[in-house]
Amino acid sequence: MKFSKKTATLCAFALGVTLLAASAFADTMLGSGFQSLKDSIKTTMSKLTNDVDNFSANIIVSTKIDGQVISESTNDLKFDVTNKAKETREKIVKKGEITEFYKYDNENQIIYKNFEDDSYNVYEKRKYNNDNNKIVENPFEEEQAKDAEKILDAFVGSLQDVIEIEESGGKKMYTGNLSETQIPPLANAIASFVFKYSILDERNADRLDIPYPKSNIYLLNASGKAIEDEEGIVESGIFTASISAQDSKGIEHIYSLDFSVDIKDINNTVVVAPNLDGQKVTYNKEGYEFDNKYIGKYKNDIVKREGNSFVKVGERFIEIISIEDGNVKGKYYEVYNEGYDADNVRSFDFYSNYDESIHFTIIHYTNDKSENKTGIIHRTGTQNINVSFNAIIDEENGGYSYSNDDEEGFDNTFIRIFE
Amino acid sequence: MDKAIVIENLSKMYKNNRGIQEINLEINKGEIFGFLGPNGAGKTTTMKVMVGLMKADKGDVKINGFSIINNYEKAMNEVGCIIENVNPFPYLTAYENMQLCGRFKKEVNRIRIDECLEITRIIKYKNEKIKNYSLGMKQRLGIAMAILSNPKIIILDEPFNGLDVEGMVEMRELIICLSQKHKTTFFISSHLIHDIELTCDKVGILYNGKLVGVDSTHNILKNYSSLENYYLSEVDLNADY
Amino acid sequence: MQIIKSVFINEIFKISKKKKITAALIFSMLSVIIAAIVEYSLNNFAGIRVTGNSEFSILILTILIYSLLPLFTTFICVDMFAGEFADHTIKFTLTGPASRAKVFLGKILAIATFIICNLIVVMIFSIVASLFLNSNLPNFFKILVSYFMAFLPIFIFALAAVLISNITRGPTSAFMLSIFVFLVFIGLNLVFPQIRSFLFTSFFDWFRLILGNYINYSKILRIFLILLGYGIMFCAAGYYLFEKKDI
Repeated sequence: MKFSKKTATLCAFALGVTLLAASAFADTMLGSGFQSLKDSIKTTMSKLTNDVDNFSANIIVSTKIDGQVISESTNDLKFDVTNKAKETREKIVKKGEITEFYKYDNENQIIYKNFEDDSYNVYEKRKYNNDNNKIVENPFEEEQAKDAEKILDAFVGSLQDVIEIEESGGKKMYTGNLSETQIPPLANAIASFVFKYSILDERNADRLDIPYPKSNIYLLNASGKAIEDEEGIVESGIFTASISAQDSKGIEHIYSLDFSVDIKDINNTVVVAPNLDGQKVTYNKEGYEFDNKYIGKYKNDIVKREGNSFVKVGERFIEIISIEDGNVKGKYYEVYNEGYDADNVRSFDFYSNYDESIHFTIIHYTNDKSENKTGIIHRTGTQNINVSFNAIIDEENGGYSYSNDDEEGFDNTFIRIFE
Repeated sequence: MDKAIVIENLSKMYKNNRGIQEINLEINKGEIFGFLGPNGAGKTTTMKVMVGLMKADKGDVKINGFSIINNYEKAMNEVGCIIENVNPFPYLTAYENMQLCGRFKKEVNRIRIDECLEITRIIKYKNEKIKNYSLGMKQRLGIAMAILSNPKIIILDEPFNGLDVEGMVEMRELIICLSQKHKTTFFISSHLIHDIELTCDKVGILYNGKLVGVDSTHNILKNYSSLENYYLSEVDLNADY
Repeated sequence: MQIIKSVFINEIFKISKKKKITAALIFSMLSVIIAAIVEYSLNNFAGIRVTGNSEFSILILTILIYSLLPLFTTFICVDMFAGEFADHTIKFTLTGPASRAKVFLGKILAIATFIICNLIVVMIFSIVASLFLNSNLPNFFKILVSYFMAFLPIFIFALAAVLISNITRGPTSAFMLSIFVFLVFIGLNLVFPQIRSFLFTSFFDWFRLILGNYINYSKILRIFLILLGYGIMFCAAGYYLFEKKDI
């Protein structure tokens, strides 16, 4: 009897452990609708950026109040990944007014259409050395995306299982519908707060002539649907969210946002530049930051403080001598007033190599200690220039820092001298 | 004669090598058995095993013919007991504590509870919370609980603890009265030899975890001038080993 | 059966006489009232309704299921086992005519009853409060099912606390360890979301699964089995220790 009681207890324990382990394992293996949707979106992005030659995308965003469309924007995008060409067509309807936008973009040129007179603007691109430039980037490859994902996972918590998966004919359909009772209070509070105070604040509502959400704001529902094709690519997705609120007169309104995206014509999309024959076209060259009109003399004042006043003791000069295909050559020198002896009167030549950086015009010079240094020169205002010496350039992030060769009170802005 | 309690080969050792070894004992129905022994001899251990608070390493206890190990509920059905100190629930009143006890028996009602509290003379305090009780009062309550359901067997561990002289006398009288009236079997442990002598009609001496002598009080008093002398001689005899 | 019933009534009687219980119920009610006030003032001053329509009772449940409900349950479990071991009052129950299995079962049933009562109190109070907050009638059915479902994970946690109460030496350490285990499980869930299926604390708010239009029954079944597995495991282990414990 005693033996069997002990055995029974042990058996029960073993049964519990088995049941727990088996169901938990099954649960982990099956995953949640949310997890597989996330995986599917990742697969889609990685395939679109790496495996596919070309594709089209169609994005529609519309906002409604009480079912009436306030604004709608339609984006037709065509990507030719192999040939690095992209076409964008956008149409925005806001209160019956239509705004259109067209852009064609490839390695050599960008073409914009001006819908007012059906003319085109063509910008010829300067050649970049950077071959790695992609026309579409995969956002999931970035470090921040991974952290954001973890936070999202924790936040979504048990709502992960709200997403339903249906499979038919090799396609997978994800549907999710969050009703008001399911939306976590915190998410509701944050969404309502952001909506009221930053998206549609009193001034914005007034400007757009739509009712201002004053009280009783809450997320009414959020729903979404996505279809994954046989290749594992999300071919279409729809997302809708609506917020209920009362305006200042106490009338209830429903504000909703619809978002839909379709990915189509994979490896079947041809991106062609618009036919410009017989059209009114304006040609522009994108390119060199400096051209011939910048040849000339620029200066600013060397100022010292004496007692409680400023005294001009001399002038700094930049002379741009020649500009050829973006290559700038020039010299820098300082002239001090008579009666004022400086410890060090600087004077040197500088030059830039076009395309050394895609962000900046980098100048090279040799300072008075015979050290080779770099600086940055760029345009400022219409006709003036800005020069920094002894700069350290961070090409990757498009930034730089400089010390101006440690001269105190150095003024980076040089004013054009017209003689 | 019917056996009320049979202890067979009972052993229980603690990690410090103390405990009880190979105890064999039979108590007839209606007997008042006195369980004598110095502190730490194993009296409480034996009694804890008897009422199922501890599991024996070896051996068995049969109460009314039912094994405490295999048939606990039947064995304990007609047993009332106090083991070690009386620990009623401190946040309840005496009456409420009695109610908890009585819930297992149909025949116990309000009147019976009051009756038992009357017998043990704490009826005055029945609605006071136990945390305000003195040691003696708790002891009295313990006895009231033990006799509540008119059990056939009552096991009392140091029942005279904390009682005043009056209380001790009353307790002795109560035990003898119950034994005569209801043929209740008693198993009483104590280190108070005088009280055992006056109350019990059979005595067992436990020394160093072993039962060293069992005899009726009548026989002992024939051979020794007092129970105390018998106890000392038995203890002396065994202390040599 | 009669004996289990007696043990059960005794345990319920004891619980009902404890001050902690009164405090627990009062705190439950207070938290409902405080939440109602916060909700009311957020809407009045900021115009934000933290809960949508009819969701106040669910909001309360979501908050309490991770805070007061497990806390009070731990109090009871620890008192009923570790507490009684420590002040030896357990002797009283164990020397009665009930076998240890029945005592254990009676106590577990009493704990379950306490959890149910606590949930009912919170539910009724929150429904009453929500009637004051919103003009719309709450969805009673969903609230009822949610509170019903909330019972299981809390009960599983109670069984864990019972197991812990049978391992540790004193009530304080039992209480601390129970809370510690609870926090560790919650923490593991946040840090390693991939093992969430193995942690019973991930499913405290599993009632959310029935709130939407789409109800994932297979997921609900899986969670039920996981919780059941935990329950059987804790129960068996707790009973094993309780049975062989020397007093």
